[in-house]
Amino acid sequence: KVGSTLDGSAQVFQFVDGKTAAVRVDSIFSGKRCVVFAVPGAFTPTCSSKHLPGFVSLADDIKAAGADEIFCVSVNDPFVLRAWGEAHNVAGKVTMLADGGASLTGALGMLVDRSSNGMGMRSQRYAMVLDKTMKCETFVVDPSGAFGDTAAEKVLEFLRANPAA
Amino acid sequence: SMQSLFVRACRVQRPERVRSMAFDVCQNTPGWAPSVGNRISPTITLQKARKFDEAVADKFKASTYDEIFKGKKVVLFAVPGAFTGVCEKAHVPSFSKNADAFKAKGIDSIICIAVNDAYVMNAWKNVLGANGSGIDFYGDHNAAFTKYMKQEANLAGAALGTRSQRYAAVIENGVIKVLQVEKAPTDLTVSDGDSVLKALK
Repeated sequence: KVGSTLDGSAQVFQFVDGKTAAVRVDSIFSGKRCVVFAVPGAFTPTCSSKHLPGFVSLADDIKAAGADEIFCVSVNDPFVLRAWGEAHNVAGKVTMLADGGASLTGALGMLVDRSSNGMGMRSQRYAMVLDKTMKCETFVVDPSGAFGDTAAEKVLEFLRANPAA
Repeated sequence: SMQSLFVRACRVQRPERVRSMAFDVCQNTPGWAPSVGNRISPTITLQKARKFDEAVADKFKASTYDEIFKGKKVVLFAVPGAFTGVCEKAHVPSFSKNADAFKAKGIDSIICIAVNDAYVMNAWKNVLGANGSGIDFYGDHNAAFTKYMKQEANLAGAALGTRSQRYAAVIENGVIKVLQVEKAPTDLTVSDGDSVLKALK
């Protein structure tokens, strides 16, 4: 993964002029140094209590350390993700990307079956940094149920140790 | 013939087994969909809206037909998606404002379902607050119930994927007495609380 370039044709859903629209990720990521982290599900505990809030509170530091934008990806529809983001005051800090069709998640090989948890096909918990050409600088995955390596603090450490070229 | 198969089955099988065989036949008959007069299959399940931690504690146990429908008069309405416009602003409130009126007509419970997971439904219930009072929320996370009812809607165009049509039903001890389905998921003309109240005898 590290060193390879993301397939820009993967699609996620965003609100455009108040309506949902499928958007290619290259139009979202290209030209920016992006922090992208993924959660298994909106409104589930670790995602809600630790992962997303961590990035919201460290957003300014992360941007000062060289990231242009922070994205949160989840295999949820854009309505659910918007509501979850609003509940965590993400405006201006983290951009929510609804990967309802699991296009981006599948392209990254991060799809996992959470049917036994009542949730269907979801994303694994990961965090990555993409450079301005969508090449992957770092890619870290937390094993199922765990949380640590993908936390905002770890991403901040990486950015500080690896200023943009 | 199918009829003689059933006659023979009744002689040797227990009633529940015969009923589930009948369900299998109906379900696999093209064009058939559960409608007024049919009994809901006793094998259906739904996930009660609750926090993920609560689900871990109950080992993700599904709510059963016995728990939801058996011996009860239930009003069930289905929405395409939690946190979406019509569902939130109009459909759910139309039932919560009529909760007492439904109780007066002998309804034991009003349940709202959507193809969402139980945790999203729980969060939605909390956000709805008073607009969702008197309603039990359930998640049909894998669309199994929706597919059983033959009410799937392909809402990929709205970024929602496979969801439920918008409909309302009155189900007494598992038997469908009223079933009113909107022509389009964005409509709200026959499946709202006032319309269902009118349909109740």
